[in-house]
Amino acid sequence: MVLEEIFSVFLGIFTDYTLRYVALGSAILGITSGALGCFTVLRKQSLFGDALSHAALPGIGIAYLLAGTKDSLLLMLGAAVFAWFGGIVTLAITSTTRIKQDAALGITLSVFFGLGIVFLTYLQSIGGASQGGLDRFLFGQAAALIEKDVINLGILAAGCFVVLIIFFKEFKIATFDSSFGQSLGFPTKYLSALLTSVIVVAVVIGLHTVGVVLMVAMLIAPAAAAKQWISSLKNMLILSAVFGGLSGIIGSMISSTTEGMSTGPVIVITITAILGISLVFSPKQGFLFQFIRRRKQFQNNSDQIPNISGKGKPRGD
Amino acid sequence: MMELKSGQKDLTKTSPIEIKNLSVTYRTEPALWNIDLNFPEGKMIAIVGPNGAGKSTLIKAIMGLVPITAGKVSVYGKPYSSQRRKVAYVPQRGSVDWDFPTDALDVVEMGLYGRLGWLRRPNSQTRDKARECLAKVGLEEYTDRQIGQLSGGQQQRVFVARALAQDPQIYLMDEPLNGVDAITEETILSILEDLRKEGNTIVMVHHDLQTVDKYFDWVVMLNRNLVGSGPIKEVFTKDNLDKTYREKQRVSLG
Amino acid sequence: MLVAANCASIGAFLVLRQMAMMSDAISHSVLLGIVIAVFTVGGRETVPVIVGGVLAGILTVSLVELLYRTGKLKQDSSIGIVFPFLFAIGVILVTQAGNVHIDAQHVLYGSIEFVPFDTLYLDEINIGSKSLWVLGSLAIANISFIAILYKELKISTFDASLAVSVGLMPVLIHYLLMIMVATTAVVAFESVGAILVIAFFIVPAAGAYLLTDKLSKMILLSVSFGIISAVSGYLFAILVDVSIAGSMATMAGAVFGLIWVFAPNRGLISRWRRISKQRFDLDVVILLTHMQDEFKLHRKIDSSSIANDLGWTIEYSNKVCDFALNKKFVEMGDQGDLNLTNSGQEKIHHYTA
Repeated sequence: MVLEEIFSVFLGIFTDYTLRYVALGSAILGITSGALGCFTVLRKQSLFGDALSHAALPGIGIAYLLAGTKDSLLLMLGAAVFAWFGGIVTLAITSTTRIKQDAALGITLSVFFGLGIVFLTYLQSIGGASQGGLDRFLFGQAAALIEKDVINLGILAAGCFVVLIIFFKEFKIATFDSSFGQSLGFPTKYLSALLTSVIVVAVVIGLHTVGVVLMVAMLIAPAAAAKQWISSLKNMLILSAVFGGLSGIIGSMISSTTEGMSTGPVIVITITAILGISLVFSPKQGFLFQFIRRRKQFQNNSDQIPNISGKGKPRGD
Repeated sequence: MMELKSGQKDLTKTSPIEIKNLSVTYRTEPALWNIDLNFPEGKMIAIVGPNGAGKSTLIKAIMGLVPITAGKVSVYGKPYSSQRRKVAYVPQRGSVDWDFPTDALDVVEMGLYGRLGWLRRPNSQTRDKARECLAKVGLEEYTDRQIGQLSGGQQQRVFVARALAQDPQIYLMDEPLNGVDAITEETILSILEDLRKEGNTIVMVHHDLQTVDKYFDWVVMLNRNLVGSGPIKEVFTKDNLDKTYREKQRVSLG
Repeated sequence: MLVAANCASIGAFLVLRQMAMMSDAISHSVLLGIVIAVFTVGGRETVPVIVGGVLAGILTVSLVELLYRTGKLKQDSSIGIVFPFLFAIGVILVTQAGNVHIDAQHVLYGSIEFVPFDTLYLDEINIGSKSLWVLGSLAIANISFIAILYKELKISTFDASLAVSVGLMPVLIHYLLMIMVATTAVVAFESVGAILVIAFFIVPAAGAYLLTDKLSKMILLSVSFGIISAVSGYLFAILVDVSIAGSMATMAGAVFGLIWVFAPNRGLISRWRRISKQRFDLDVVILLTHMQDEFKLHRKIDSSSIANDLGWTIEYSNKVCDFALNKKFVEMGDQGDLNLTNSGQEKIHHYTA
């Protein structure tokens, strides 16, 4: 019975046009943000993505105000410009004042978001925007994706991956050991800026599907989950993209089964579940295996203090 | 690129690293003040000084990793940017995140990225070269080991192997012997000794004053200003040590 | 206004304790607590809603710490995973239960406009807006919290190990503070919404942090900025007919921006002036020191030899030399060469001593 139901939902991807685009759009987001999220996590900029996605909101409003269309590419451009600007403001606050990064992020995300709300409500009050048009970016509206949107998202995502593949080696060294990379002659500052730009594109894709607020989870959770299984950057990126894509598809399928259930939150819950499973079951570092290993070690030589990961985890300093 | 073998003299007679009137400021605080230095070729050179004396800054300034307020640095008579291939940098171990998802071999391979340049990818050749360098530091069995699971000493040896992969003439090392085990210290020193015999120049920020005269031929004593630079016997004197470390407090207060 | 004052007073501690993003997380996930409370009680009574929100807040903080203690995730990653998760559950619950009077958008940016209409009756006498009463009591709670525990908060903020050694419990204080954050967030939720709570928590406090070094002053300034932003935001919103909460956050940002640029000492302008002055001053000393060295070697120097030796452009070298000549640190010799004067010597000595 249950299996049959799952099967019919799964089949829906091929037969049901709406669901196909929803699933495809969500998968595109998941794959892109999964891969790029690895860099935000490894650069310890997890919450930077949060600030970027909030900062994008006024860009949508302004783009609409200026252009007067709901053409998704134009809105995305506005969003990208503001996300970038928000990122720069955050960095400028931390580098020119004694305000720490977390507060700087808080300032950017709340003020830009506030500005975004001002624009959106202004648009509503002058009657230009129908309710559903613009504030769908808050929670995203994967369910409203149409063919044209999906093609746009696909092109953007493909662009991200082209840049990522071309500069993979450079991104890796700039992230792992930036001053060493600089000593080899790589302009690590520009590389970081380029990487941030690509992440901005991923965020913009995310605005369409999961929305401003939940975007940060799409960047962090797949990467954090993949990191539990994998010890090479390339494979981590691939697995993270797979996790992201999977959660996009599964999330949109689940939400399609229930009337009125919004897709974005379901996707986020799915990816968090994948992370939870990874934390518990990964053979390398999972809680479960740690527990078993400890038990074994404890039985073998009860006088020795059990180590967590075989050789222990020496911290570099 | 011509390799300098032992006994072979550098015909141009230029110093591997020449520093003139160098001052470096962080924001408005001077970190290095009016430094004039000539590093001799084919020597083991220690940079010593108290915390905040500008030891790491000096090394970074040579490679242009920090903005220079005044002065000039040349590597074999030319600006560093045209001589990158001749220099390998070993940063402090604490400067990177060892949780990064990568293995020992991969890190060593990064030493070859500069040679690969843009767009070209690591290949089987770079892989072999990296493996060879890992073997030199005694870590051939650890090639696939996630770097976070190596001991501190092993991590440091991976960094040294990465520098070896660059095949340079000058090694700039920031405290490579800090907090490492005896085996690592021994391994690193014997490798460096071989390199020195081949005519390479090794510059190392060193913190353990007890071992300076044992390991090095030449010492640079730094305390924001240059206190002294020269052969150990002439420069590493009690008098200079006092000068270097006496004003520690003032410097660290900045 | 009361919301602003409430948030801003606690905000000072959040900024100083580097917990800004934690408060962001809390103010999102209180939604879940509120929704569950509304489900269980079946209405929007103040007390259960606050309890629910506070529990959700504590859940957030504990989950984040749990994840981060495992050593598998960094703290910021843990925050970035926990709150979207809890928030997502909250949103789904809200959208699934049509009978709950919480609108998904208003969760985010509130609807302060309707607050005054939700009035409270005591023995059928209108005693004013219910929200005002709640906010008022919260303000009193917050103020007394800070007043009573001022010393403890201060010590545990600046030096947690000292706090332990003198017998205070920074962990307890940490959680108490988090509870206050959650309570404030819940109460503010209705009027300004989740994200804009952050604007009131962090932005005024960050602005105050650029103006003063004293904690007590910082709290006062922070509260005043909060109120200024709230009032000006309100007026602006009425004027152009936009979201009041959004406009308040924008105003808070504008106030912060002004402080950031114009603050004495720490503002961008004065910082830029100070740094360029000090840089230039330093370069003058570098020049003088260099001259001193060269004289020992009996070399003649002029602006262009300086430019060459110090790696400066000739224009910059001229500029520094002109300044030094003006100040009589150096003097011009017969053949256009430069010589160090006594006051130049003093300048070097003054700097290096």
